[in-house]
This record gives sequence, structure tokens and C-alpha cells, in this order.
Amino acid sequence: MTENGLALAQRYIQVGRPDRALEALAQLDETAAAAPEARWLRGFALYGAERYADAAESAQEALEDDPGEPGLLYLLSLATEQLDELAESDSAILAALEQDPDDAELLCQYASVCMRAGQLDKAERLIERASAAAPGSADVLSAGIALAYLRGDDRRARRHTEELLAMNPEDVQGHRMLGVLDLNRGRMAAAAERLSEAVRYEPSHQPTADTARTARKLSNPLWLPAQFVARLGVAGSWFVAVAIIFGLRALGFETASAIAGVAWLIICVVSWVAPRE
Amino acid sequence: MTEQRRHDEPDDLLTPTLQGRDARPADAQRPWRLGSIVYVAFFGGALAAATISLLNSRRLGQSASTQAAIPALGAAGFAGVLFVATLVDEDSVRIAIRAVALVAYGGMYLLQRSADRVYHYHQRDDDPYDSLWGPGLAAVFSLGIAETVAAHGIAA
Repeated sequence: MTENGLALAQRYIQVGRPDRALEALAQLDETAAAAPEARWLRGFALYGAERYADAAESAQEALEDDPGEPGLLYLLSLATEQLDELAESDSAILAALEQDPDDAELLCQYASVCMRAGQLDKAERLIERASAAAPGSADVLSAGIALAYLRGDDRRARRHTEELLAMNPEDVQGHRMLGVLDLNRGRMAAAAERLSEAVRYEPSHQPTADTARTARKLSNPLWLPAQFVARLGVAGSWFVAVAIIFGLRALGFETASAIAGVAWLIICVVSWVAPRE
Repeated sequence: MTEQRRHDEPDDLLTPTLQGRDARPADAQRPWRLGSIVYVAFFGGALAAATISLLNSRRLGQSASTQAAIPALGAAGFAGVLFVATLVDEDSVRIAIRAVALVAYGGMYLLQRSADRVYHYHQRDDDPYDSLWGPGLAAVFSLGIAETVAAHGIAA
């Protein structure tokens, strides 16, 4: 019964139903619930349910009985990172890495904490080390995708994401990232499709559902001007507009220049009022 | 041997670098959308764009070197406008101010892009950005007018 309860909870966590996992764990008797594996699973279920403070508290309590357990330190680092308690997250993951300095999953979590703090160079070195330990692993690819995106290297982010999706076509982060990259480039229909796919695999993730809704709205032809601005980038679209407006004027086409100016004004207004991510 | 040395040497990569780092306070000033600063650049010129970008860079918590590079770009843009103003007639100065400001804005945008993404990627608020209306208009009507007057003065 206890083993079934734990296996059931683990399965629910794997399929993204942490609420059900918590229900399954609540059915365990007192002795079984106090066992290390049950506490570990409860911590991850709380983390999955985005109850980060409870997950951190659960990990800390379990660490009192089992100090230095890498899995609990990893969980503590994950939860405190989400709470923006970066110093604590840093300490927890470093304590875990002391025991296994070449564990790719731990190195990628440390990279994630560094990325959240804006320490992108250190994050890159950590990912390189994780990649040497576990080349091509999903953790390494996911961390590489996040880093490329944060550095503004959208092409590399897309390439890594496509590799990740080739390994696991149901990877939610992969679909979400491709959707965001398409959205940033003004490819709204493709973005809506990708983000809807991500929502299908993880319906409980509200930010993705909101972004998918925005992408669907922006794929309407009414928002074509906003798509144009997104496709060229803000700076790029302004350069093009200014070059056309003032170029026509310099060539003596005053009326055409005025029409281009009005058209640009309309594009700006439509982009301004368009739904935003 | 190599493996032995690697384990004996202190691992600088696995040393704490986030200790003493506080979480972003809930009441901290939110940054502005980078895309919105282009309007300040177009209507207010390089100095106005640099001022807003510098304030935004501080809100994003960027390094001192980046914060120094932004006003340097603004000053270079302003110097560029004054130089162009000596070469063209008064009517063309308006175009020069805008063209130079957009080029300077491009540089400021690139300097802040990564920090902006780090900020936005980790935000859970529905609208994590502040409105630029007030500060943007203030920059346009103060520094923008000052830059225009200076450039027209030279062109004349």
C-alpha cells in the first residue's frame, strides 16, 4: 500500500499533476509519510504545484534529519531560486556539488541560479562543464537554450530547442521557447501554434496560456502592423521608416513622403495598442 | 595525474558568488520597455535617449561599466549631431538629430538587451514594466529641446 502510494505520487509528479501527487502522499500513514522518499516526493510535488515556500520548508526539515543529502539540497536550491533567495539557493546547490562536482543536473541548476542573478559568463562555464560530463543531455540543452535566449542569441536558442524537441517531441519548455522566439520575430501564427502545443502538454501553466492567447490575438490581420514591427525589430523598423520618409523627401517626392509618414504613424499607434506578451 | 591535479586544485567555478545578494525588493522601481525608448530617441534625440536608458540600466541593475557606456553613446551622438550641423543647412538638422539618435539608440538597446531579458524571463507579474509616458515626455521636452536649439544654433 505504502509502495503503491509512493509509486503513484512519483507517477503524478512525472506527468505534471503535483496536486494529485500531494493527495496520494496525504493517504500515507504517519510512519510512511515520515520516510525519506515520501518527504522528498512531497517536496517535489509542492515545487511542481508552485508552492515554493512550502517546498523549501519541506526540504529544510528533511535536511535536518538527513544533512547533506544531494537530492534535498537540489530541491532546496530549486525552491529558493523561485523565491528569489539567491544566496540560499547558491549555498544549497554548492553543498550538493561538493559531493559530486561533475553531476550535470546539479551543474545546470547552478547555472540556472547564476542566470537568474545575471551572471551569464559563469553560467556559460557551468553549462560547458555539464556538457563535458553529459554531452547532449536534456538538462544541458535546456540550460543552453535559456542562456542563449538571455544573451539575445535567438538563432542559437532556436537551434538548441530544435535539438531538444528532436530528443523529446513533447518537451514543454521546447515548444514554449519556439513559441516565444516566433512571437519575438512577428511570426504570430507559428507562435500561437507552438504555444498551444505547450499548453496542451502543460495546461496548468498560466503564463504560457496567457502568451498563447496573446499570440492568437496578434495573428489576426488587424494587428499586421504590429507583426511588421516585431519582424524587423523596434530599432530596425524605425530605421527603415525614417530612411523611407526622409529619403522620399530628399528626392523631392514630398507627397509620397507625407503619405509614408502618416502610414508610419498608423503603424506606431497600432503597435502601441496591440496586445502585449 | 591530470585528474589528480584537478581534484587537488581549488575549483573557482564552484565558489559562491551570490552571497549577500538580496532579492529584488518588491517595491523596487520597475524598468521601462526597451522598445518604448525608441520614441524618446526619435522625438528627443540622443541625449534624451541616453538619460532614459541610463536610468533604465540602473533599474535593471546593470554593471557600472555598462552604465558608463550609455551616457558615452549619448555624448557621442550629441557630438555627431553638432558636427553634422556644421555641414548641413538648418532645414536638414532635424533629420540629422533623428538619424543620429536612432543609431545611438541601437547601441543603447544592445547594451541593455540581455539584462532586460534576464529581468523579463524571471518575472511573474502580468505587466512587469513601468510606464514611460512621464519620464519620456520630460526628457523630450527638456533635453530634446536643448539638443535641437544647440544644433540649430550651429547650423545657423
